[in-house]
Amino acid sequence: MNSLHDMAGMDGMGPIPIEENEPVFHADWEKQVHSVTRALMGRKHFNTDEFRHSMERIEASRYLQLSYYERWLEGITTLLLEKGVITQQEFDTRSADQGGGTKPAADREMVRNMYKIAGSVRLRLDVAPRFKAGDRIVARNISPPGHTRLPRYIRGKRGVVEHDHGVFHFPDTRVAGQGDQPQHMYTVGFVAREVWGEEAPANDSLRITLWDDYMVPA
Amino acid sequence: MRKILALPKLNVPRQRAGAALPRDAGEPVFAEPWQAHTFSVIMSLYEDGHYSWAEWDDYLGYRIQAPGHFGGAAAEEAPPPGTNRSPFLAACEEDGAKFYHLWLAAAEQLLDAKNLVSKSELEERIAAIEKAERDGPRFAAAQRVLVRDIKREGHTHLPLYLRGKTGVVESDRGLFVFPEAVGHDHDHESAATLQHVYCVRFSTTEIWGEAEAARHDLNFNLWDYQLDAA
Amino acid sequence: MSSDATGGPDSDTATRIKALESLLLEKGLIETSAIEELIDMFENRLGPWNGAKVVARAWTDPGFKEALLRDGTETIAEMGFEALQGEDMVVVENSAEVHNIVVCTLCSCYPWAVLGLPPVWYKSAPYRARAARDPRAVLREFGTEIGADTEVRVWDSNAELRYLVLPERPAGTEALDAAALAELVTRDSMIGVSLVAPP
Repeated sequence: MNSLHDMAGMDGMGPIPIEENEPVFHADWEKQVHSVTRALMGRKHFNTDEFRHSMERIEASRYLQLSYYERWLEGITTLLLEKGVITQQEFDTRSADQGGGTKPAADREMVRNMYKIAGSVRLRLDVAPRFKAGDRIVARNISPPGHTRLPRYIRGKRGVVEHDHGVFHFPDTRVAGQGDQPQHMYTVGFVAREVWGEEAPANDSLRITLWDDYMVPA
Repeated sequence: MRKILALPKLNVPRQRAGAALPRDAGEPVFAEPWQAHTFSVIMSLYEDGHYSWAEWDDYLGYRIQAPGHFGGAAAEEAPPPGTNRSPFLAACEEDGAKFYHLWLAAAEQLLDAKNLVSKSELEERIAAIEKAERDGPRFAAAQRVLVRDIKREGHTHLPLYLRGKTGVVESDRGLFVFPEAVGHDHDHESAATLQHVYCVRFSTTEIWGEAEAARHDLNFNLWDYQLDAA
Repeated sequence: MSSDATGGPDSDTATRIKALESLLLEKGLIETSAIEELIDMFENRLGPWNGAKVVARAWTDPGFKEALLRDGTETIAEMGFEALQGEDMVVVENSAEVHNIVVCTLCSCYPWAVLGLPPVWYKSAPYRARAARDPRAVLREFGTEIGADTEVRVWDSNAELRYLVLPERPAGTEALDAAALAELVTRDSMIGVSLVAPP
């Protein structure tokens, strides 16, 4: 969706808030929001893409007003209500009146396992790649109403495939409830002038990750 | 923010202009539209308090009395010896065009003295108008154009979503001041002050992508500097 | 509340997360032990000191560096850091020719295993909006000037790849061992917004 979260290239956001000796969390409630979110994801109440989409759906005028972990809290609240894990009435009364379904509780052991398994969500599936390193491509110009990881600034731009990272689920369809649609994911290089116009420095460039379905041959 | 300014078209809303002014039977008050504009500019600035009537009178009087201006208009029309008529009254009865030439010359001098429009600003704008009128429009209706991806810093009328898109010129809207060439962040010095503005038509699929049903077009006004031939 | 602000102890937000957490506890969906473990992990165990060790070892061990650049995920995992499932690590090397800088324009993707949680500025709207388009101006805000002859290469972390910048080893550090070198490596240098200063 073309919402405010897709903000690359916009002006007027103010100076970058650089903070000396910044703590990991600025308040106890931030620790709770972060940990509850990770615990729920560990038990697969929602996945990364659904979580991102829940925050992309925050109304634009609020999106910038909320702090980072306030957006997290708003996002997981939306998801828990939508998935029926918690009802609005339970929220309003601050009291649980039903069980949490069939998923076991997130506990210390689950968290340790979650973080001990290093690595990738690459899918070990035999899917043929549609592109290879060196191919010239155009990022598709699409404006899907739902979740996508193809930002506006790269749509319609011409780049060169640099590296095939293997097969991954496709975020757009995964959130839309249309399945994982596993496909190859590539690092694609663009020169800065192609992306940002003739005033960008001639030397500079950008790398972004594109799935097969985000590209067409140039 | 600067207004989007069209180059004034010299036409006169005759009924309304005439209604406010005494006119001789059957004769137009102004012989030429530019005279009406000259008159109106002077009156309007006076009514807004930029100068007193005495000041204006001073400058106009100087013009009327000074010899050798506008090909010696005032001098040549000098009253014949022996008459009492002032040069001002004489000029009023003479060719209106010459009279308003004097108004214009006086106005230029007064506006410069009052720091309203400097002489050099005026000369620059005259040159810009002459150049624009000499060059004519670069694009014609039905021509395909590409929107340049320029000017991201400071004020711009070029939105992100149209950059790099191709459209078709729908019409030429005439000459307009290019705000980005005259604003405080004057970083496109090669851009002309006065440019044709074109209404350019884009399809929704061109802007928002292949999945859009081509349900509608979008028309957007763009300055010449923002366009390349496609 | 402004964009990058945090709520105080009495904020509505604090009340809301308390309510949410208590409901989830009541429903048996989370246990307090999981929350404690996560807080401890992110406050105390995951942080840029891990990434600094990776960088220092790459500076002192050419075989490790070669493996790191070829397969960041496996090579970092072999160093034994706790890592989050789902992070594919890509290590990009700075040189006289190329300066790398990482941003996540769409949200806040960041290599937790080697750098911990991102600083507020990395998650902020101004950094997300500007780093991809005008990285040189952003770098200047961090006091980093990159010569016009050097390519500035932005990495938009928009997918399940996480980037670690391997900064240039500063001059005058030939005598230092990996442990001493790791002390020099800053978080910001591994995101690519600053250089590693000589000792």
